[in-house]
Amino acid sequence: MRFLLTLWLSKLAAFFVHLVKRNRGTISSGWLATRLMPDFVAHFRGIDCDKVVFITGTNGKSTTTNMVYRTLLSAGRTAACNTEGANMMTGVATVLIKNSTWGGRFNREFLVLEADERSLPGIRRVLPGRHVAVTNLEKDQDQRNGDPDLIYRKLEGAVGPDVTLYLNNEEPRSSALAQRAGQAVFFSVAENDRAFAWHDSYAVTLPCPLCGHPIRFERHNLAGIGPFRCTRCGHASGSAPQVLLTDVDYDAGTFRCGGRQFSVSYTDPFYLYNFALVMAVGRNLGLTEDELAAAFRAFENPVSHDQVFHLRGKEIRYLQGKQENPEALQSELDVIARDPRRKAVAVGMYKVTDFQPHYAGSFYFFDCDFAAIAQGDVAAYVAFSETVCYDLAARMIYAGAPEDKVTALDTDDPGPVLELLEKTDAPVIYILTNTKHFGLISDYILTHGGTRDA
Amino acid sequence: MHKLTIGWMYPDLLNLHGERGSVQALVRAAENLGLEAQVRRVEEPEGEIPLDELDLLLYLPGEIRTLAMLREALRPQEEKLKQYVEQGGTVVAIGTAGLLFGKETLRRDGSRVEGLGLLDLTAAERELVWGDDLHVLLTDTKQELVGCQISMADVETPTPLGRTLYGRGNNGAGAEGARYRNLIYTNCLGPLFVKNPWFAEAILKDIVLHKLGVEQKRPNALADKSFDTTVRFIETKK
Repeated sequence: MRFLLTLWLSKLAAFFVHLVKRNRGTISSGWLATRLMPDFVAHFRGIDCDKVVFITGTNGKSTTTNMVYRTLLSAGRTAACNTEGANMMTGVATVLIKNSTWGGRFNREFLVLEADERSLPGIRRVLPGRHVAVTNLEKDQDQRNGDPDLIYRKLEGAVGPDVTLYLNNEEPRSSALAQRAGQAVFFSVAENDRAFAWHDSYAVTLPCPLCGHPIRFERHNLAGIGPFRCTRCGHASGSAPQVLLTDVDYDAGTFRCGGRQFSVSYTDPFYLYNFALVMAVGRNLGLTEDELAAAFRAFENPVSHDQVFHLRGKEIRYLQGKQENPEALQSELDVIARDPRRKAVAVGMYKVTDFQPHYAGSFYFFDCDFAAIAQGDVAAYVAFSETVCYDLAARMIYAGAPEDKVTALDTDDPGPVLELLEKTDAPVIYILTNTKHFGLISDYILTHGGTRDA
Repeated sequence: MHKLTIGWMYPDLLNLHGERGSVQALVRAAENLGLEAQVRRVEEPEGEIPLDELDLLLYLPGEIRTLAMLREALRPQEEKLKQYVEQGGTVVAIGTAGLLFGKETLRRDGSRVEGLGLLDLTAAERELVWGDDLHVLLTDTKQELVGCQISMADVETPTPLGRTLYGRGNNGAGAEGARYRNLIYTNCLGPLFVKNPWFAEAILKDIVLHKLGVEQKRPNALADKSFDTTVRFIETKK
């Protein structure tokens, strides 16, 4: 009875919050429910744990969660999902409140949940879904996570023999979780045009999660992701992953898997691994190749990040990357480096304000490779944002950017940044900021005569 | 030009928090002093460290689990390392790497990770990571360091490197880092030597004065500005 009272109260709260402010309070009902009843989620009826999918990991959680969810819908299944990215217990509770009857019965077939890596053990204790997909485990939010091993140990405690794990065959840390699961399904991407070897004398890899000795990569499909082998214990990427994407054609937007060609709208290396993961999960959930192919063709990412503007004859390509997350930032830096045109490059990373105390660390930028950009045709570099701009500028210079081309602007105001960039002779301007400040630059451009591509 | 060899210790194992930038900054600091710096990567934990050929051993932050493995791997050459430190060899350990040189680290699961015991230092892994800015006054030279720290463990030592002007330091009680002879441990990240090139130059000067007697310094305007803005930001938090 306590559960039903909590559920009713939460449903009413969700209704009234929605009435008052349609865009606010997305997780307020779940917050209320879990405060009133910490194990609230455990009491729903009608959830088939064989049809519950958790998606966790450092990078790609939101995108792949959306992809799995949309693929199921596209295939005619019913599913619920925390697409808003509320990926802790309150977010899970909110999804269940929204997708259940007043009697507490879950009213969808599948439940697809993005799960914060640290929250997953607690969530699985009350909702023991049997499918757990791990996109990757990499450096992220050091102020909260310290080091990736801390997250690895948390996930070790979240999986057991009852779990089917979906793991990136080429990511050394998460793939080591296979030994904890009842079944492990590996997804993989074959060597392709954008694979690279890292021969920089400052390049580093990582310690083996099983024995602590150095990991060596044969190549990288993404930074830190590629065929690998531990120098000591034999932990290595497998030679026969269950899902392998081959024959990647970036220009045509196609790849092959299981003897069939798939057409997709997003084909950078990051998305290829996402498609591979969705393929692995989808097959295990009983989707056909036709259903997967149709969903892949139609997929549009609602959380797609990059935007193109035009301002007084300049093309401005505006990228956002997760601050404190070197691999995610590297993907964006790679986009800049791949553009052969003459360009101006601005990077705005900010004081870290996700948790207390706020601090001015920007060391994650030194975990990225900026040299590939510095080797290109760059007219000017601008490092901006209060306090940390000088450290960003130093990173650029250490990567080989000429000091006389680097300007540090100790401001969060986009005005001086754009004014400086517009003065260069580069037809293309790249601006990379963190996610939190992403809107500031676009607002400035649009209110100063710029237009945005659809 | 005089040559200096920096030993970058286990780069694939100890490379958290962007501190590989400190390797580059050391090279630049050496150039500022009129030296030619060579970086030598020491890769294999079980391999013999070429102590005779290295002027400085640089240990960057790593996972505590990795430190336990390294401790075991270094056991056969423990005495040589001790001798290197006792004879005035320079070792810099940044962040968690300092725990490798302490006596012992108590982990959250109750297990204990033994250290090399070259620093009079014990540590206890924290339940929650602590990340914040860090502003330090060094005891010996009265130089200031500024940066940040990602603290995975609270540290106790009777021989700190300095005291905190802001930040947690070893355990929030005012002490920061540790020092024994030329074995230096600090929590300060940034990367440390990018944000504090004067500290890199001071360490290198100690080495070269001992070895060669060279001294030259150029200003580092970017790092000076970084220092000023970071300290200004820290002041707003006090």
